[in-house]
Amino acid sequence: MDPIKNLIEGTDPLHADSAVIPDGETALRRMLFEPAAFSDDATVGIASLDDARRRRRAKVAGLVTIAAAAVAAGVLVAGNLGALTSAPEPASTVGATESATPTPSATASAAATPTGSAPAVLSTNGVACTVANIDQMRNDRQQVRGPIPASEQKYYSVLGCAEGWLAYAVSDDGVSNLQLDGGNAWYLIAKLQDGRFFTDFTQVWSSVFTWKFHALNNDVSQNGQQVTPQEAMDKEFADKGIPVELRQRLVGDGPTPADTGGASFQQASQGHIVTFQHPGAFKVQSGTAGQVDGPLTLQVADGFDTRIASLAFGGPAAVDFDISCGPQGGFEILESVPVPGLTDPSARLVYGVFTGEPLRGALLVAHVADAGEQTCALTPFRVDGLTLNFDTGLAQPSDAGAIDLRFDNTEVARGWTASPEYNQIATVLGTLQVTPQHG
Amino acid sequence: MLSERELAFIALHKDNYPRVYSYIRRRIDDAELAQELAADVFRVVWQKPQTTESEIAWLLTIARNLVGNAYRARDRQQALQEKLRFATATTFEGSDENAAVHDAMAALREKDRDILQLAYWDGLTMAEIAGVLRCTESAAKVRLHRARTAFRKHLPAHSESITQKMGA
Repeated sequence: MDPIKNLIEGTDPLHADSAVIPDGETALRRMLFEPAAFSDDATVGIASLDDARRRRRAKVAGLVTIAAAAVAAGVLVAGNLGALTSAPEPASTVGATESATPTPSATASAAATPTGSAPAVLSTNGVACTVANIDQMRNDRQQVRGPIPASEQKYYSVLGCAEGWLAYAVSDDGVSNLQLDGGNAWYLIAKLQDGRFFTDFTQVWSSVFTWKFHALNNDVSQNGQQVTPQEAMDKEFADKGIPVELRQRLVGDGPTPADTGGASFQQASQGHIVTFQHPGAFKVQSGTAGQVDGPLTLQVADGFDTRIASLAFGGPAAVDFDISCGPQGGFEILESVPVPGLTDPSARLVYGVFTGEPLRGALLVAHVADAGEQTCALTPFRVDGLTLNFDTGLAQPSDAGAIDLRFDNTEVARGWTASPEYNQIATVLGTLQVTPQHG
Repeated sequence: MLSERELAFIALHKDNYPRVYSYIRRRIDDAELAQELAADVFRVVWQKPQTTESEIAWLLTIARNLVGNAYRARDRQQALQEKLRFATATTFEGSDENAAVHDAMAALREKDRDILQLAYWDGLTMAEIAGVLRCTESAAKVRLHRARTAFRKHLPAHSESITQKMGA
């Protein structure tokens, strides 16, 4: 008999919790069929660029494939998926284009509704663009084409139609009541065929990501130019063979930066405009005093008033640091991505850990010299000679109110990059822009 | 056709999801968030290279990090402790005793409380605990012994029912 064990076991929260542990297979299906990075919480913000790419790549190249194959192999019971019986076959273009072949269901949140609402009565090629005129064919064993049942039509809404194409979405209520396993990530597409609109879920064009998804998972093209949600949507249209010129009439104009659920900070300083995005619940606390357009210092705090980033541009507050990195340095770089808003391609958003026990993590905008060498160096990025510091975790952990990025080991530090907290901070730092002030 | 890696992932999920979810649910006072974090654990697993260490130790290491992020700020941790204390006191029979146990746990250093929870809430073996804590099994045994000693010292001396259970 072990009295200590018994006493502590007696306080196990799950012993008193009558809630059932979720079924593993159900949880696996939810994970495979739902996108990785969504939340209606405005504090989620924009995912880090490379993290978003990894997630989509994993989902597209791996997890979606698993979903389809697992159902086909009987590992996941197709019957349990309800209206959604399986994921569509992965398209051959998935790896090349990074456009996902998502599950054939989507929800329309308020954020997903295209700006510029479609007129009340729509038609194309003489056919009214209504839910009642839409047939669907699931990517299941039966592959039977049929209209959306009358009782379910209330869960769908037409977004727009033009030249024989129609875009529509499923409401959150629809996902719940129809027991669809898809996430809130896709608009559905139908093509006019034999007098009716037809969504063939075996085809890649049967769905496109929502505006919310494109805004949250903004990718960076190879030349380092940031892609807008509109450009991302147009690219998806093109990749899937949907006429790009119809995009606006099908899914609307898309969001402006203010609609993404976040907020923007902007301030003039020393002949430049400094801007960055941040989740709506975050606060920017300016420490700048004195003349307008002078050196800029500020802190960014999260919704719990924890300081998560500090910025200093010019003036005495901006410091010259020199951090040795690389295998022989004192700072191990775990992730390094470009900062598109800074014109110099040598500007990087770097995440890593200072060696020691425990490890101390830090994210910072920096210039990386001798990257890949045994010893590299992180130094401040400069804009027209003005020193720029924008970082997280360089303050000592004991600083009251500052985020504490201490990790037991490198694996734990790497694991943190999968967290919403990391994505929020990476958003703040990674969306930094410093542009010349004109006029 | 499922690849070997995909089959292994599905098997890993099926074998370990209940323990991963339970670990997180004990520490996150929100069932829906616990499900999301549990899913995040397996998403990280899918993206990271396979390791040779114990599966559950690897999974719980990731889970610990994600849970830690959810309660990183000291005031959030304190709020969680208060929630747990209130929930414990009002949920269990013999609430005074359980509240005393919880107070003793709350008074411990985080490292001591952590290993006691791994051992007696999560039911990990010493080998699994060693894997999660990234130490040798011997070191884990020593830590558990010290944590138990510290726990015993923090129990109220006047609690007769507890001391009776302790065999004092």
